[in-house]
Amino acid sequence: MTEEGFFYKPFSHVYVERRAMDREITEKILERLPGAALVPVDSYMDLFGRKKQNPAAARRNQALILAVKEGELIYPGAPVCQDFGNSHFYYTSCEMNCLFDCEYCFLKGMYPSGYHVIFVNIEDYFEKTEELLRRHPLYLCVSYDSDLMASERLTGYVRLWSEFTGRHAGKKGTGRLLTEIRTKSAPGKIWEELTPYKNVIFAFTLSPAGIIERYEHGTPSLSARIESAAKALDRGFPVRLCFDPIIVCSSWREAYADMVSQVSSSIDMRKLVDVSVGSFRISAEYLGRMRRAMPGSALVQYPYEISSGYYHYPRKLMEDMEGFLTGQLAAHMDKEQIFRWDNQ
Amino acid sequence: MKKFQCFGGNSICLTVTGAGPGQAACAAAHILTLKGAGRKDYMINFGSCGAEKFPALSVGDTFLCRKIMDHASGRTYYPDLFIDPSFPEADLISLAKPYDGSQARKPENVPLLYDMEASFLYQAASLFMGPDHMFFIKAVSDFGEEKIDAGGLKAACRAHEGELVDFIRKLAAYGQADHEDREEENERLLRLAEDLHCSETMRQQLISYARYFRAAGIDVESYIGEKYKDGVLPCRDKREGKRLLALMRKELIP
Repeated sequence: MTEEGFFYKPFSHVYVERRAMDREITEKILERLPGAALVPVDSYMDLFGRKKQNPAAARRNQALILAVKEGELIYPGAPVCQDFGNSHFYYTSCEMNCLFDCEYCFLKGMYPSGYHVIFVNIEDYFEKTEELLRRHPLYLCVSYDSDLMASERLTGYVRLWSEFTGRHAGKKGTGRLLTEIRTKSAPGKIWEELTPYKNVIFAFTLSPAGIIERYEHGTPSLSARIESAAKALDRGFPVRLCFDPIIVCSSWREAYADMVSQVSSSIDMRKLVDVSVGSFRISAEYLGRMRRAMPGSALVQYPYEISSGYYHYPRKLMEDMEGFLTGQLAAHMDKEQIFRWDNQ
Repeated sequence: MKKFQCFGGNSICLTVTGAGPGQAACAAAHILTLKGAGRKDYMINFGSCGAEKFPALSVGDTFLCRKIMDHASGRTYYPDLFIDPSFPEADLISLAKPYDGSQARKPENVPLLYDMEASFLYQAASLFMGPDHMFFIKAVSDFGEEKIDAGGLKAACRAHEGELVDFIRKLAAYGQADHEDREEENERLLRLAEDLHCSETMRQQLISYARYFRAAGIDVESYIGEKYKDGVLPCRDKREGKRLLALMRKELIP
């Protein structure tokens, strides 16, 4: 039933922790959502941590929670994630959940809730990052558990992380802090507004057009993302392309070859920082939850194989797909720039 | 044996819980168990409530509760706000005894109501369904000081009867559309597992393939039908069954 007025509109309600009320970022966000009903709450976990939630329904009628995050804010990077040869690989989450709705997203299995959470104490994240930097250099991914660029108009967090990282650029521009901001967005104007720091990498996740249409709901087209990446590169921003996850489809060779052809005709791939290649893989625990919640998703219900607690494509298929894509990319860039997920 | 008055047909069941936390929780647990309620079912709690004075608030005004606070425990419960019953919103405090004004608190940005059932119903129903399947709709009957008579209570509850009935009908229709009957499909799967001479591992594999075929819209019925026609099914033994399972994977799954 899709009768007009039967469902609340997305962001019709904003739940705000009382301790988050007087923060500058909270006020800015609320200004940008003038029609939303404000619901004061004691703790975001009273909503986010409830049992038997329906994350799919929550994404359809997404509500926002503004909260203050305490405790650990910076975490060691997960083994299934690419570290691009960096030691001291960490990630952080100043937002939870994403405005996009990709069927294969691990967030659907990791979080009990589909509510979008923004932690408004961004200055605490910067403080914790600086604490770590006093001990060792840091490769920090800040857009894993959300797509910061997608919610940039609400939060301004891409700009804030970029400026913060730029302050740690050092004399040569590389410094002790290297930040990656990953996105499926296709922004245009932002490349004229931000400063291109050498130690802030913008990583665009790309998939063939058919995969985007079928599984990456709400995201910009492949063409739009390529155009945005090309513009960023032209304006001197370090750009990475992430061909991850590779998703099987009936003519996957043609689909991925077409995609690489489209990318290489718009972007001089030798100018990229690097690219990453990896087929779909996910923890068994997360996929279990996703399978229960998404019986209609062929991608989630696909009979993956399991090893060491992670589901993945059958080994031969995995090797074929990753090897094929790596070969396609190697025609346009140095092999040293291609990072393939270590699936051993 | 039914302990609570229950009225209804196949898709809607109306239970009169009676007043008070114990009654509410018992009624919910009893009826939801009796009816085999689960994640696909919905619960609407409708009743009267007291209220703090609030601008333009009158007896008979009816609200959807966005937040339910349990006075005794201090815990707060949040039914999801996905489906819109088209009532204005209020916060609710569930008390262990009738609101008499002494438990007064200051409303925030919406009216503040008082009852004796909602938080207990929420907790009981949580054992059966998620927070996106519960609705708490309350009609203001008093502001704490005055005595309420049966006539006044009835009038308050009937003030927005039309909107409530309309919402119940829409929700029932929506819930029916959401429900899929898989009994026939499960029986076919069971038969196929027997004809493949499935071990437990093979059975689990078959189930995972079946889930994929259903999600991908693959017409496995025709495929299996051909195998029966060609005499490939039923298989003679487990070895043949395993081979056919592997063939199914190769031919139907990319």
